[in-house]
Amino acid sequence: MSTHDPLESYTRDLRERMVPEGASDRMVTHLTTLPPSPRRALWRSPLWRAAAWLVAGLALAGRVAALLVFLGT
Amino acid sequence: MPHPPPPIDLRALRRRDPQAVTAFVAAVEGPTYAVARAFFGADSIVDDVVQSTLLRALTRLDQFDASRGPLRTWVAAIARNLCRDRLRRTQRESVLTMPSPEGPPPTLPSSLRDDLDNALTTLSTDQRLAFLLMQVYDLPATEVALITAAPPATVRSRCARARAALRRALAAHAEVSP
Repeated sequence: MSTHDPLESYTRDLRERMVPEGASDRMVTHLTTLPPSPRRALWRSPLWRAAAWLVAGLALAGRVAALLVFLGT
Repeated sequence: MPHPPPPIDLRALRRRDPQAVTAFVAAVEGPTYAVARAFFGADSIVDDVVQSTLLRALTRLDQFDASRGPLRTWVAAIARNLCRDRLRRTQRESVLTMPSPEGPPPTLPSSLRDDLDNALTTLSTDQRLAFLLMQVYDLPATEVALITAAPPATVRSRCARARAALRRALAAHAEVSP
C-alpha cells in the first residue's frame, strides 16, 4: 500500500467524505419503518385472500356443475 | 483490491427484516452515494436521491438478477438513472462542490484537498463517476460498465483520464506550495 502517494491519500479522504455521518442509521430506520408496497400489502390482506379463494371456489363449482349438467343430458 | 460484498438474504430483505436491511444499506450505500456525488457533488439533493434509490430497489427486488452482477451494481445503476432524470428535470447549472470533511481532523492538507476537489469537479460526469467508483470504491471496470452502460475499456479510459487530471492538479499544487 503506497501511503505516501498524495492521490491515494486523496481517494481515502474522499471515501471518508462520501457518506454523511449518521446517514446509514437514518436510512435503515427509514427503510424498516416504511410499510411494504401497496400491491404486497393488498395480497397480504386476509380479506383479499378470502375474496380470492371465494372467486376461485365459485369458478370451480361452476365448472363442476356445468360438467354434471353436460353428463346428465 | 476489489472485495466482494457479503451475501444478503433477499427473502429477509423483502420482509424488511432490520438485520437484512442493515446489511443491504452497508453493502450498497457507498457506491450509491458515489454515483449521486458524481452528478450533484455536495448538493442536498444527494441524500434525497440515495433514499429514493434504496427505496426503489427494495420495492423492485424481484427485478434483480444476481447472474448479471452483485446487488450494489444493480442499485448503483438505479441511482444513475434517477440522477439523470433529476438532472434533466431540474436543468441545474450550479457549480459542483465536493462535501466537506466531518468528524476527526483529516490527514490531508486542506489546500491540497481543495485543489484536487476543484480538479475533480471540472471533469465530465462520466469521468468523475468512473474515478469515484473504481478508485474510491474499488469496483472493477466490469461492474462500473454495467452501472454506466458503457464498455469496460471506455470505463478504464475515463478513469485513467480522471487520474491524469488529478495528477496534473497535484503537480500544479506542488509548484505553488512546495
